Amino acid sequence: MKYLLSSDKKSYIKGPLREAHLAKNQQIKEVADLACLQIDESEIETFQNQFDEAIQFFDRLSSLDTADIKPMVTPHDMKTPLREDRVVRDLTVDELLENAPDVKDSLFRVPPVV
Amino acid sequence: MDLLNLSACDIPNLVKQKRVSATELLQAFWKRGTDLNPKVNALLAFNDDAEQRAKNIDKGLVKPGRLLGVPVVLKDNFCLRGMKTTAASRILENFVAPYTAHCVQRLIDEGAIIIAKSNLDEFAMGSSNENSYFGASKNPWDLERVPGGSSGGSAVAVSTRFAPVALGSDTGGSIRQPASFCGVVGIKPTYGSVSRYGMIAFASSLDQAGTFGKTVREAALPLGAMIHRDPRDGTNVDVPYSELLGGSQSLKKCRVGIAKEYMVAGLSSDLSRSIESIIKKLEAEGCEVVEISLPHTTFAIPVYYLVAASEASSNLSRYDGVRYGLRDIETPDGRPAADLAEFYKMTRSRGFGEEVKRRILLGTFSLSAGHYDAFYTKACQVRRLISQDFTQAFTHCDFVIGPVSTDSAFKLGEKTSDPIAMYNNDILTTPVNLAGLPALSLPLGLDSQGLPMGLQVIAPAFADDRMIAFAEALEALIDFTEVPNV
Repeated sequence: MKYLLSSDKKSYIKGPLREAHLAKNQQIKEVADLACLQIDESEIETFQNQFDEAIQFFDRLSSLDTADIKPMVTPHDMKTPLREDRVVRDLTVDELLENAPDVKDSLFRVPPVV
Repeated sequence: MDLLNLSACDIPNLVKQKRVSATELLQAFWKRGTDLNPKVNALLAFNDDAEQRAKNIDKGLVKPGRLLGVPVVLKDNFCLRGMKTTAASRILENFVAPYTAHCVQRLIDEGAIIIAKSNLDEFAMGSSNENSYFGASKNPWDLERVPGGSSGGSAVAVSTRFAPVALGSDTGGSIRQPASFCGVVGIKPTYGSVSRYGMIAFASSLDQAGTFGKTVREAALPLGAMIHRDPRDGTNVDVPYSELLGGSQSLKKCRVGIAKEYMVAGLSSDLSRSIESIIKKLEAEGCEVVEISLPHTTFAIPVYYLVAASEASSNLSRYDGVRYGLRDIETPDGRPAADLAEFYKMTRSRGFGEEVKRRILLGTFSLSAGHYDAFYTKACQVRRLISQDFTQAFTHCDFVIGPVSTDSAFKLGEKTSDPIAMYNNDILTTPVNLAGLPALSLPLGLDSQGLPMGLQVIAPAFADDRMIAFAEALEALIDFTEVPNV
């Protein structure tokens, strides 16, 4: 069973990232499941190693004290712009369905849900 | 008349005065593309409607705008109604855009002819163009080397003269780095200047459309039309200048900052020498050159890759095989999907390439419960420190200049097996995107291997017009006239 952080690499991870990381000790398969991706058995080890390396790389940030720093989620401080609440004609239903792989009676058809 | 080397700025008048027909111009570029694209793989598709459009222009049926008759190549992550828009991904291989991107419509409204769509790293994720589902584009200066990425196809298209100008998008350097690798000008405007409506999303707080041209003025020409208020993009804002090309910037008394963190140890000696040489020229012109510090530069790559991957994992969740794009309903052994969850997984796993999957996984991890604060929030906090570095630097200088990347174009395949080495390539471009600033790359010369080197110019937010005026003055000092021999 492979974990995001194999035991021999634990010493590279320091600070809060390490604790957050170790608290979960999540498998790459679990992350893939959250992301709705399937990873072939043959790819798991490669992804796992690259993932571990990336996490160690990101750990560089833990050396910075950011306790009082407000997170910056977008470059410019801006308020949500509002627009007039009126109906605007844009694409037709047919145009919106043009690229749909499977349509029936103007509805998207998917495999059984329940 | 040398049609392939006409300035995009001269074409509208020549067409209007009927000294050149839009049709003959289009055909010249079309022939060039047909002949040479098999070598460089920069173009993914020609626009079938371009010929009729050129005829309409020649008949006087198109309003004569500032881009009348100018052929433009679009990176294939910009939607053009009725044309395939693939983002170089298998998952969108057969997607036909039902609408046109706002910035593209602006070009059309000004009389441009969309001639072709260009190659890119899948969903703009990459620095070499090697992540394209349709195969990598090649650098016209050396076909064994990468053109840079992700807008590599557009940079190659301008460098190889498939069009005088092209569109790209820059999320972490995707316009500036390929421009520098291919010896052309690439401009990324201030975040929020150009509407992202109709540009396929990668990382929404970083993505910004921009342009390529042979010269600064040519690249700025379409960009001026693209900068236009659009309420359909909530992050699109009014800019403080009326004309992008209206600014002027004397080199005398101009303060230029050199970031000591950008002149890093790994910088090639050719690049280092060339930048020192341009500094001397600027000083001789009366510029005040000052050393500045951007102390958090070293953190830009982990911050960028956490923020970009997180936003990408969210943005790319829309590709589910239901409403558009690839759908896969059978497992490799022919069994139908058991349920909706398996159907999503099969579709996405078959549709996305390796790098896209890698970033979705990283982003999903950093946004997941228990890791969000330690990874995503932490990255956003350090992002502010990086942004504050620039705010502080611009109290000492008007512009920052420096390298675009640490070296010229690398060889195809050289970095594909090592994602971190590939990511580190973006160390000098990603800080600009994190801070939302305007920046450009202009050719600085050729290195000892005969490969182009680029000079990056960074300006304060919304000083795009002054940046372009300054870059034109720099361009005249550098006087780069080389072209690749494809």
